[in-house]
This record gives sequence, structure tokens and C-alpha cells, in this order.
Amino acid sequence: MTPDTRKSYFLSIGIFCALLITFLVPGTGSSRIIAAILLLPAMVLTLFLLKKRGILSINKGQVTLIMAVSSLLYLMLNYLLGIYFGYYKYLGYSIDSFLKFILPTTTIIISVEIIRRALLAEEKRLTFVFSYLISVLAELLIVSNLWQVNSFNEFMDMIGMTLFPAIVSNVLYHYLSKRYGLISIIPYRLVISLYMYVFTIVANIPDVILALINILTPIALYLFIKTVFEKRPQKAVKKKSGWRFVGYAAVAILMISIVMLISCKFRFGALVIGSESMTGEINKGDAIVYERYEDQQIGKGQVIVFEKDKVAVIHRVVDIQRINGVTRYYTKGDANDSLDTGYRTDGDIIGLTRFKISYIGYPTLFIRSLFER
Amino acid sequence: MKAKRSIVIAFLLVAVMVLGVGFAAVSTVLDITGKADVNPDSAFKQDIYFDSATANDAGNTAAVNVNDDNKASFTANNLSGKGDSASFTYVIKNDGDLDATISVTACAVSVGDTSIFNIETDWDAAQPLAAGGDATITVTVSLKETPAESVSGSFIVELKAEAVNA
Repeated sequence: MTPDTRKSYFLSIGIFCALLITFLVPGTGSSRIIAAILLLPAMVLTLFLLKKRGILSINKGQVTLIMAVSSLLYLMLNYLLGIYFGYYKYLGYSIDSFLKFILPTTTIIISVEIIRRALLAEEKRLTFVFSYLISVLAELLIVSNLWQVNSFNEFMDMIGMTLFPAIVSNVLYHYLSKRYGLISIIPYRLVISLYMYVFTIVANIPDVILALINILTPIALYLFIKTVFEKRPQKAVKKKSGWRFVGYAAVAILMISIVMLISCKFRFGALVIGSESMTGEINKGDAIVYERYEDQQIGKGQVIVFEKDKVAVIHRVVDIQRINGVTRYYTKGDANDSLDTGYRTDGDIIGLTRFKISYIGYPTLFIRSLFER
Repeated sequence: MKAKRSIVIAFLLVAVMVLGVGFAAVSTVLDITGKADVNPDSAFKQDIYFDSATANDAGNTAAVNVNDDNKASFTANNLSGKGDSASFTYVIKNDGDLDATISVTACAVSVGDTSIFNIETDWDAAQPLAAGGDATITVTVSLKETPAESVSGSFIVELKAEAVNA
């Protein structure tokens, strides 16, 4: 083992352990700022100890341009989706957001990319793996550490909005760093990580859809750059069956449908049944698919989805009365002894139940119950 | 390349499943406590109640809930053909100082297929119940279709009241 290899192992394992402790151990203060403080000297140490740098592809200029344009396209897609989903006011630029978010995030991104570049140049499997783990951990720490997650929704945000995209993105960044250098990565990362701290309004895209976009974007970029810029030897290939593409299309449609139903932002939505108030017809653990309410006729006996105190309830309409020009829907759970408190009006109704899927909601209820414990 | 493609597809499927399980919205229990009314003034609410309940046909029963006089119940027995009906009369009193609009809602609570019952009340909800007055309401339950054998059903009746704006 050469001295350089020993140094690279020491650095990669050491930085990884430091970040892992920051992630796992409860502590006061922002995980983002702590990670930035740790990574800055780690970056300096890496540059000082590891001198080897890989040889980059001649296409690095083009790939850098593609990545920069992709970041702008990502922003455009976000804001275009906001036309459908709406916008909300976010932090925007201020001294506070600069010190708490922009500066630490920028430090983390630049430090991680420099460390990644230096470790990948050693061309050892261990440094390859640990540099990947360091960059995934660093992305998690930009958001929070494990102890700052206080609810199931925050936990799912960490998994869906940060961990999964980080796993996929860092495959792309590893690939780019090795072949095209860190300049191809840094502008892209800075734009997609920091735009919400610069612009005042942000698109109100449902979390599940944003998570899917953040997972698919790096995959698409990776496949595109690899296909366009990597030369492959010519060889005879068997003609591919068209049924394969039908299979891919079916899987893609299924995934998109699931995401659209879960988001509950389109004409149809899905809800998991978390209570036993409709036992018999719709049981706990089932999921129902509902059609968004848009002044359709509602009849007695129909099962509707309505909002009460900011939560969704699924009960049956047992009576409808029109008083003072307002239609009142009286509801009751099939398994309840009494009618629901008060009545619903058109403004409370979210949708009309169309069909149920038995048992499919159990994994959701199980995971939530673990967290609540 | 084929193996990498399989890994990507498998990862995407797992990710979408995890996202679906984790981000799925969950419906919850509707907290049913206290008396059902939009008017939070409980003193006003207690002034309006079921005073009496009568089954108009032999073999049926009707009663006011002993613990909550905004609720009542009735049972209709041995309905055997389409159009068969049973009626029940409730007297509602307003002992308060304010006129009120009241609504009376009835629904089936018995086990089994309750969709064969049609329930109607003859009270016009727009009509106010004057302070100090009372109202007689008839609830009629009938069969929408002929069942395979005669059926009986248990029903609850709930009274909701609001003060009429001066």
C-alpha cells in the first residue's frame, strides 16, 4: 500500500465517520452549519495530502454546458408546474438566509466536490465507496440530522425528498467528477439547491411529485450524457423485441399513476383508511380512490371524503337538507352509533368515493404507527 | 448495460413504492363528542330537545335517549314488501328565549343491508321553531324494494338546532 493510498483511506474513512457522527448524534445547532465547519478543513486537508488528479475527457466543456443548462431547465420545469399547483412565498434572499442556508450549503457542495474529485483520482474501490457515502451524508446534513426529525412527515421528507434523490444524484456526480471534472457539477448543484433562497416565490409542487422529479432528473441526465459522449464499440446486436418497450411504458404509466393518486392534486386521489368508523363497507387498512368534488350531484347513501379540522374523513351521507340557501350534508360512519358532529357544506367536501382497494394501506399505517411509538 | 438498466428500473420501482407508502394521506377518526350542533352555546342547545316519542303502528317502538334528549331512536319491525312503511311521531320543545331553526336527521344503525330503507321526515327545516313553542315531527320509514323475507331495522334520530339571527 503506497503512502498516498494510506492517506486517501485515512481521509475518506475519517471524513465519513465525522459526518456520520454529526448525523446520528443529537446535538444543538444547525446540522448544515456543523457539516460546513467540518468539511472546510477536511477539504483543505484533502487538497494538501492528495496531489493526484485524474485526466479529464475532452468533452468536459460540452458536458459542463449541458449540466448548467439542465439546472435552468429544472428551474423552468418547477415554475411551470407552479402554474398548475400554485406558488407560495419562501424565504427569499436576506442576510439571515445567506448566513444560515446559502453560505453553509455552498461550502458543503464545493468541499464535497473537491473531496470527491481527489478521492476518485486514487482509483481505489474503498475511496470510491466512501466518497459516495460522504456526499450522500453531506446532502442529508444540508437538510437536518436524524434527531431534528420530529414527525413522520419530516421523516418522509428526509427519505423521499433528500435521501433517494441523493442516492441517485451522487451516482451522476461520481460519473461526472471522474470524467468531466468538478466544474461540470458545482454550478448545477448550486442552482438546484439554492434557488429557493434567492427567489421569493416557489412552486407549491406536492412532495411526492417533487421527490419523483428529483429522482428522475439525475437518472435522465446520466443516461443522456453517457449515451451521447461515451463511444461504444460497434457490435452486432439481436433485434430487440417491441414488447420490451410496452413493458417499460406500462411500468412508467403505473408509477406516474401512483404518484398522481398519492399527491391528491389531480382529478382522482387516493386515501388510506386510518379509522374503523366505516368498518363493513370500508375497513381500516383499505385505500379508497375518490374523484374530486366539482359540484356533482350527491345523494343519500353516498360515501364522501370531506375535510374536518384540517383532516380528511370518509363517511356516508345519511341526510341532505337545504336551509337558508345552503345545502347541508349530514354524515355518519357506518360503524358509529351517532351522526357526525354538525354538518358539511359544499366547501367541506373534497371528493366522492369511487372504489376501494382492500388491504393496500396497511404498510402506510404500519410505518406511521412505528413512528408514533 | 442490461444489468445497469435492471438496477435503475428496480430502484425506481422501490422508490415509487416507498414514496407511495410514506406520502399516502390517511383519513382519520372524526371526533364525535358532545351535542351535535354548530352553535357552541350549550345552554341554548339544552333548551331544545325531544319531549316525547310515539310509534304509530303496533309492534314498533320509539324512544327518546335517556342520556341525551337531542337523540331518539325507533325500531320498525316486520316490513315485508315494497312500499311497506312505519311512522313515528316526535314532539320537539323549545324552552329557550330564542327562536331556532331545527333539523331532524334519521338514519339506520342496524347491522345488515340498510340501503333498502327509505327514511323521510315531514319537518320543513327552513321553518323556525319559536321560543317557548313545540313542533310535531313525523318520521316515516319505508321499503324501497321487496326483500327476500320480512325485515326489521333500528334507527336513530338526531336533532340539531341553531338560533335564528335577530
